[in-house]
Amino acid sequence: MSLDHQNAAGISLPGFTNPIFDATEVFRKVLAAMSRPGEMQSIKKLCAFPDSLNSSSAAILLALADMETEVWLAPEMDSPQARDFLKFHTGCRVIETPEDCMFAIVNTQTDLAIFNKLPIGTSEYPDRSATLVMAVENIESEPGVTLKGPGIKVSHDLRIADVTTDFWRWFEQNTQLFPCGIDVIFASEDHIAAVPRSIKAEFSLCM
Amino acid sequence: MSDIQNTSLGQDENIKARQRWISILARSSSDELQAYWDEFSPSQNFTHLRQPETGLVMVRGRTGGNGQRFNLGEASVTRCSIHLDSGEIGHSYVKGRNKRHAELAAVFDALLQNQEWGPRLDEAMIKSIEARLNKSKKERETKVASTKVDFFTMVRGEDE
Repeated sequence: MSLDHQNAAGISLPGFTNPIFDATEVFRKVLAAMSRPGEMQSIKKLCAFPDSLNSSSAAILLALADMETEVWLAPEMDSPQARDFLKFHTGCRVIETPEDCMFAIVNTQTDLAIFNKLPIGTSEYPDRSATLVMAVENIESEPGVTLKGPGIKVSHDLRIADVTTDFWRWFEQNTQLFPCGIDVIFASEDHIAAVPRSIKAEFSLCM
Repeated sequence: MSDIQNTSLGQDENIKARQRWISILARSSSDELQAYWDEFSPSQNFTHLRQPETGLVMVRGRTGGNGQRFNLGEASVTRCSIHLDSGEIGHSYVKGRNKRHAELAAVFDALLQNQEWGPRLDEAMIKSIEARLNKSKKERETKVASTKVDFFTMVRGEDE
């Protein structure tokens, strides 16, 4: 049966084939990505996904979201199909306000002004911050931005297609908020890479 | 999802009919469903939306059907959701841990919504399972009723 046929409605998309093992695998990849910032982790196509999401961002949500999770979908990522898919497989709440979300799902087109609305946590509870999952076309370990900080021995190069200097400027401000702040996961079709709030990203203006 | 609701589940009657057969499928036995599956051997292919998975539900009750709700105990429940190649989506929740049972019940739920299979299965399968369930319920009721004891006391401590 072709995936196109299943795309007729969100609820008719299957989730993980082996929910436990697949979710564990994705969880391990996210953990590895977070603990080795900027290092690319390959991620297999483990589930069908709604058109508005890409395969790895859908897999991340299937693995990490549950009925206690509030997910905000940027207008670019939102569709009735995506909502049905997430509600059916994870039971999570898809909310309308980015201010209250735990996961914000965006892409490179999303208005940066919204990023400043995401919760950054509090000094007592810095963990009550949002995780930003950004669907991107391509991730490469090539010169682009230079990442430094905990989890990186010297420095790490990362090039992400279509991510603007403005984004990295926002991220620089985000770093200043430490221990509060947003953690970012970049998700292309087959790879993920994470840049947590503790990382200093150096970028050149000619990007 | 919206188009499914419009075509097959739009009216209350359709929802009621589906609730009826889902309830009967949930109370059926696994062997029974397997036997019907072998008998009809539907050629439909299906994919899993949700693989059969087992979990616990808390069964709650009220003494005498009213009063405070209390937790009776936990029961294992297996659920499954499938998608037929012809487009119907079937869901099932069955008591116990039999994954095949949940899978068959979900496939039958989807087939019962199908124009071609629905009426046939309803006539040949659902009605006979229902008859069996009613019969065994009656037998049990008769058996229980025969051992019923009425206690007569002078004061029962309640005003009715």
